[in-house]
Amino acid sequence: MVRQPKPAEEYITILDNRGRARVQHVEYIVVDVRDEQIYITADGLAYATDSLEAKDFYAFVSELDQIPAILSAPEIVIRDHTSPDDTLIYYKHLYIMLLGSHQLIAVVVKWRQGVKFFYNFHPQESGKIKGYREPVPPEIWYLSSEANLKGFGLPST
Amino acid sequence: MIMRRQLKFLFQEPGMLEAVASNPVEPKTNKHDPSLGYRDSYIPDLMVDYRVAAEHPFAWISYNFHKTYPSVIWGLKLLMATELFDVPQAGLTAVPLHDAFSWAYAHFVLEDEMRLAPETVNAASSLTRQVLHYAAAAA
Repeated sequence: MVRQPKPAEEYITILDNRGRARVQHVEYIVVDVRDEQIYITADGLAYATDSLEAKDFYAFVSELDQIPAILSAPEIVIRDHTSPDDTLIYYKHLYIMLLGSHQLIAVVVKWRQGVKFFYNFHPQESGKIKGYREPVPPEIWYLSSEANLKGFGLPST
Repeated sequence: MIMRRQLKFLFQEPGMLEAVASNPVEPKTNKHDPSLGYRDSYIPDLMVDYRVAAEHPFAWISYNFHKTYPSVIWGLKLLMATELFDVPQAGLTAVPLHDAFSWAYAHFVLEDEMRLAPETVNAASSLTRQVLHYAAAAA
């Protein structure tokens, strides 16, 4: 579910690495697959756009509109094994109109001071999610009933 | 003469760092150029992406570089030090990835607080040494 921020939600304050308050404008809010609120900020979208364009991924720039679909109905969500306490990675195969093919997409969500916010959007090599080859697989935060762990490079339970 | 690739860094607080390599003699077409998508390297918290049928990566990403930089930089030094790059945004020429990422840590995370003495400003390997010494001191 996507909604516009209420007046009190139009800006969120996140402390940076040095404890300085950084005020960010909220473009919209997504309620994710586990009914948690994710703030989609202007800074996050700007970074994702710049990142995609720097890699000549122009076909994916228009797919940033799919962020709500990925957050609300992912195939698998894992805790980032290098920072499991504050980073979630949502994965979903999207049909990319301009390419005429499917692509596994990662949407990265960070949280600080109890606020979850959009952090990045990028294509992921199919069958190889982050941490797939680690001796201890990343912790699964959510798995859809249709998803197959092996399809993401993870051992089946 | 083999043209060195150029690196461009992007950073978002707290620690999302990406490096993108490009060939400076190839004109930008503004057309989609496909890749295989990011996948794990053998370095913790560092994923790499390849263009289709390419031998070398063209993009690197670390989600938590502010925390994982010692292992990322050390891993690059051990495993990905054969190619040299120019980094125009850093004023660096002909540096391996670990030196480029060391600059990125000093610039984006330390916000240039770690200043190089003038006589070492072109000795990029000293920057890597300083960053890793900083990591050891902070540990």
